[in-house]
Amino acid sequence: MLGTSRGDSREETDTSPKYETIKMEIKPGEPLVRIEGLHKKFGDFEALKGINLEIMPQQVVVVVGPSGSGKSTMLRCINGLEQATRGKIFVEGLDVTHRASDLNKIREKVGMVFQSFNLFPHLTAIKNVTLAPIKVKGVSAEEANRKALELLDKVGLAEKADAFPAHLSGGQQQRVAIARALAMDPDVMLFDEVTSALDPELVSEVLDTMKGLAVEGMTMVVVTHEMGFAREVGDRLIFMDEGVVVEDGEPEEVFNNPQHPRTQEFFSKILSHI
Amino acid sequence: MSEEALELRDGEPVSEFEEKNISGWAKASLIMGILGLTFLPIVGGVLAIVFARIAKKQILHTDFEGDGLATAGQTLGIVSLVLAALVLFYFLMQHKLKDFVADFFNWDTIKTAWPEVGRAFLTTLEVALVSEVCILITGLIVAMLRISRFRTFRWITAIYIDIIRGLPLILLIFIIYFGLSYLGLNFTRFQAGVVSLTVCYAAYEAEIFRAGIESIHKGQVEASRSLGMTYLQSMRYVVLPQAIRRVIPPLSNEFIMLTKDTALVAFIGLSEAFLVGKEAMGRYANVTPLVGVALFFLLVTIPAMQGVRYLERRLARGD
Repeated sequence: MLGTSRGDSREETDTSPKYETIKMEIKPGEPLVRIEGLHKKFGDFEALKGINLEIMPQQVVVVVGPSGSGKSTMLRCINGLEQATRGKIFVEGLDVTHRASDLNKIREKVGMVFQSFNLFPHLTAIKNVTLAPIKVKGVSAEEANRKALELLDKVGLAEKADAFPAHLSGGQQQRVAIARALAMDPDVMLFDEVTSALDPELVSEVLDTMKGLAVEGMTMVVVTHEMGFAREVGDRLIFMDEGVVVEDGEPEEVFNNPQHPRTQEFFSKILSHI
Repeated sequence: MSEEALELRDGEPVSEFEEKNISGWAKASLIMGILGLTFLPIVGGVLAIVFARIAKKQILHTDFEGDGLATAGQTLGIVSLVLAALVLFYFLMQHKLKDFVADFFNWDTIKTAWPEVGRAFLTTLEVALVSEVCILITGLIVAMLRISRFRTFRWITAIYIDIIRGLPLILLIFIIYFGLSYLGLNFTRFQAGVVSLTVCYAAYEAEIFRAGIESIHKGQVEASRSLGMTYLQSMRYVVLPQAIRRVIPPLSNEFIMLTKDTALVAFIGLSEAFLVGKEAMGRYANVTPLVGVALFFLLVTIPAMQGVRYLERRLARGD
């Protein structure tokens, strides 16, 4: 059996998950994601007006704010789905905004889950999960399948592995989408209003999955309107409005004692319903 | 015991033992219908229908029965009238019909000319299939360039598509065939036919591919790119498989049209079914060879259309 050199090296590293390839060393105390003076314009509309943010490893950062405040845009800038107009974004020390940096390599390290799931409808749940590891990382099909089953089991959908997205509920689709993002072994996960498109009774299954991830120590940036989740799971709460970070602190602190009048107004509007 | 029961009821007949009061008109209608089919052609049929109408009215407004009989009479009447009309038509048209058969379905010509056009039709199919493969590949490449990031590619392909779509196919076939030979490229007629059809049809199919690609939600590209796929990987594994599924019905229709348009390469002298049939028509002095060509085309195009319909249904279910 003469395998390729890559195959051989994989056989040697038996214990650790086999697709750990270029896990970058992060020095203690160094942020995983650093955003410096980020501006983003859509035509004449300035969606982001100078964001500065450092996200430490294993931190769960919850981003809230009124719609149109730039939360999603900021998230999409982190993995380069939107190009920054000005400013810099570093993910594990690599500059996302730099023309020379390999965005695809950076994106392997940044998982993203979308409001509209965006599962690949022509592929079964498990194929959705294995596609990127096989095609992007060159993982063998058996290895990818094994890992995918593990992940689907983790999100509680092992028995739905062979179902097509059209036959899954919204909550199930979103959990498959989470498994799909996890399959690339990301160092940070971005969640863009992932429960907003779900029927109310399906929200909790997705939030529970996310809570599980947070407990395991995944670094997460979560844009959401679920204040309960923010309070319970978030390590840090960021309130954004009109393209700037207005408030940034411990969730409990920001909820109970918002400093800025805009934050106070926002919370008074939302929390009055709870 | 049952006899006893019957006797008990004898004095006072219960409705179910009553003799049915069947309409005489219905009986007459049935008899006329039978006569109409046998001894009294037209007259019997007409009377059967008329009697049946009367019987049905009577049954509707009184307590007469026999609706089934009336219906049977009426049906027989109609059948006998239709048969009579057909027989009449046959006698009247026998002379012209003979001429028609001699011209369109001449048995002697069929025996010799249809195998000949059948073989030529294989060439037609060969041109169509080879062209289709070239068209699919070219069309997809053109479509990808049409939506490319690079403006130059977008412009070139847009101009190509618009020029081709704005010209008659027959003109393009002539220009390409004779243009190639003036350029000193010695293509066989077959190759020239394939090149012409490819150049023409690729423009149309490129637009179909583009529509398919653009119909895929941009979230699909975002999801695949955010997993680290390159643009081409995202196209190949995520967008195109979905886009192509969606455009299979229009593409299949294009293929049917292409098969038919293959006949146009007869004009640059390729011996395909139409040309061979046309020549045979001259030789045999009747149109039977071309009828054969038509039948061969239908033999392929009708099942192909059924196949497209089947595909459409299956795809609709899949979504």
